[in-house]
Amino acid sequence: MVEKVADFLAEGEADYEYMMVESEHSAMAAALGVSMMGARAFTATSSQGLMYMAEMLNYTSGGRHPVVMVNANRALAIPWNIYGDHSDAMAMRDCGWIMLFAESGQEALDMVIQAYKIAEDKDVMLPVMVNVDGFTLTHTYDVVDIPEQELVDAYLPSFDTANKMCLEHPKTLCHSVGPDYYTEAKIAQQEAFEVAKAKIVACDEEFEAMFGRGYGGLIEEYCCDDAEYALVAMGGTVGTVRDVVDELRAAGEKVGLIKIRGFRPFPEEYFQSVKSKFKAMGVIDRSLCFGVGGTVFGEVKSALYGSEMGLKGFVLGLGGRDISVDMIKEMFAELKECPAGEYSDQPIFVGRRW
Amino acid sequence: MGKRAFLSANEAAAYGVKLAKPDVVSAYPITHKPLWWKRLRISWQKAKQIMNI
Repeated sequence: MVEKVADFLAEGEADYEYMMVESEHSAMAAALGVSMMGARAFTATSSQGLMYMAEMLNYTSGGRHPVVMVNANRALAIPWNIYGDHSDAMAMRDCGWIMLFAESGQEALDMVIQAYKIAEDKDVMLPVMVNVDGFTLTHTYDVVDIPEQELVDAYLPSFDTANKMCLEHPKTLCHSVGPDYYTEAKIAQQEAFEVAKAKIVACDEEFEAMFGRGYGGLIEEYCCDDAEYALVAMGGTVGTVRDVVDELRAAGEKVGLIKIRGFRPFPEEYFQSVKSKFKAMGVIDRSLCFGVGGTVFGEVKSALYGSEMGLKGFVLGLGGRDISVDMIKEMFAELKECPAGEYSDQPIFVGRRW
Repeated sequence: MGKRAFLSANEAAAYGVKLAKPDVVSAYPITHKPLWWKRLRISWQKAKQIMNI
């Protein structure tokens, strides 16, 4: 992706500074430094690269510097595997970054633009990680609408912040504190995430009004109005589930899809609002929280505390293994057999070979 | 009115970056070729067009 970003510069279509650095850790350190000077910063990474920048992710979020990064979601070693899943992003889920997941190339483009507007909002000031599924999205082609620059300029104002190095108004940035200040700094971050929930929705609605494309903010329900069984998914898998829902709906089955677009902040209020809406809900995870189960499943189960719905946590698509239409149908079939109030305490591995 | 193109999500996201007008992009691209190489390649392509070769 950054190769294409560099192409724009080489071809004279862009005028940003391009810093080639020696590692992902340095890439994020540089982005942080840029943002500390009050400038707009971008970087991108994937998989082990995200792990390597881990230290700087918390510096950036704790310092409240609104860097935007695209992460091409890929598996983590070992076994070393360059293919797609959500292990990398999920390992960094508590690093203080807003985390959004794109379903398509179009959404990836739009999400980057929205991400800056969310991140740089004066009431938010948090970095945003735009997650794009490795290979199934990053390396597959689709028709994409590229908005006009003038329209994007009208949507996204230039970055202006007081949280920067300034000789006229000197201040300390990214500083150390003792126990008497640390807690309040973390509370301030938590409060910003609560504010971000509404801002993500508002930025998406404004985007839709201007560009004609909206994505639902944190959550999108698909065919859920009268659904009895629903699958929760994130990223590129959503498109496949959407197709299966269409097929099963045509056959008269009351199934639906819940797309999580914003994983951090987590749309807890949404899940609390649908505690008794479905007979059963399944969660598709493309990562494992070892010793617990599916990472997203754990969050959904927590948000649904007290629900009488059946709840199942499916884990599949690890290390790039294909998520097929038949697998999704299999999960819907399992949900139909799930008694009310029952939930899976162990991850259900779909498509395992042995 | 924007334009339509056949893009990978990598390329689509890159267009999003260009349109968002960052001041600085920092990157450690494993497969990257230096900017001077890209510019040399573009210059060579233009030269070939001019010389019709």
